[in-house]
Amino acid sequence: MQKHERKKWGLILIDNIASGSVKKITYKLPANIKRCKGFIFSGNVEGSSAKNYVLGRVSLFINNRKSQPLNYIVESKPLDFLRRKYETLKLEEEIEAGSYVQGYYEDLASAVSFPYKIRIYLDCTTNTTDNKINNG
Amino acid sequence: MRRPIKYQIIKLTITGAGNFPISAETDKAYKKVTGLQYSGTDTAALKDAVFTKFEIDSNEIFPDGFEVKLIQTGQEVSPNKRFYDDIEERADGSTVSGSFQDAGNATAYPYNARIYLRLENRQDDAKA
Repeated sequence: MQKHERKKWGLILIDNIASGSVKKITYKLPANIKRCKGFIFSGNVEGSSAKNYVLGRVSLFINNRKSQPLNYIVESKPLDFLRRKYETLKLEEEIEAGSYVQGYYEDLASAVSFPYKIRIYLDCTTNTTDNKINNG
Repeated sequence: MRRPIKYQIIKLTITGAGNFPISAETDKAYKKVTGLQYSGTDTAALKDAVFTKFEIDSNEIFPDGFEVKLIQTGQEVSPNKRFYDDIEERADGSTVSGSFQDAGNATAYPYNARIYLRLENRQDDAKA
């Protein structure tokens, strides 16, 4: 049996965000995830064009609060603006297996409608065991 | 002579809010699935549209709640650059399965949704 790495997305859902609210984030990496190396932030509504499509601000600690790699402004543009591929925001320090991702999301009162949701995608890898025998 | 790349299309007709199954078998003549792309006729429908499951060859590609808009790009992007290409799954007749969940935000129903699979036969695939 061979072990090899496979990409796996983690998903943190921040739901029911009201204007001016602050939401706590606590997420434990599932047991089958080996490490995570990047983020994507996505809102399900757009931010006001007058405020550069800003929705809110996220602050994250990783690896059980050993480091704080992210203080980030989350933007959300209209779906009609969809252009290039989404790309992950890469972390210099990887998120370790079994650790917590913790922090806060603060709404900046510039979404076009409330309440709304933010999804935080974690770009992770998992070890899988390949039981198949490769035939030459 | 077989072309080294094929684009296989999974077509869905979305008639309203709810779950729509995704089920297909990859072309047996190609060894690997190397890219995915979504294209739909209603942009507004992308709001809160998610995959409740998406697997290729019984391997999870996207988890429950993964937004479909993350694998779509604008028309300005060159066709070769539009694909979500962080995958390399076995094709060769493997099963693509999952579910597309529409959240009821489309401008009008029904609308068409297409999932493009990029299938390849590369030289190292032939040796495997």
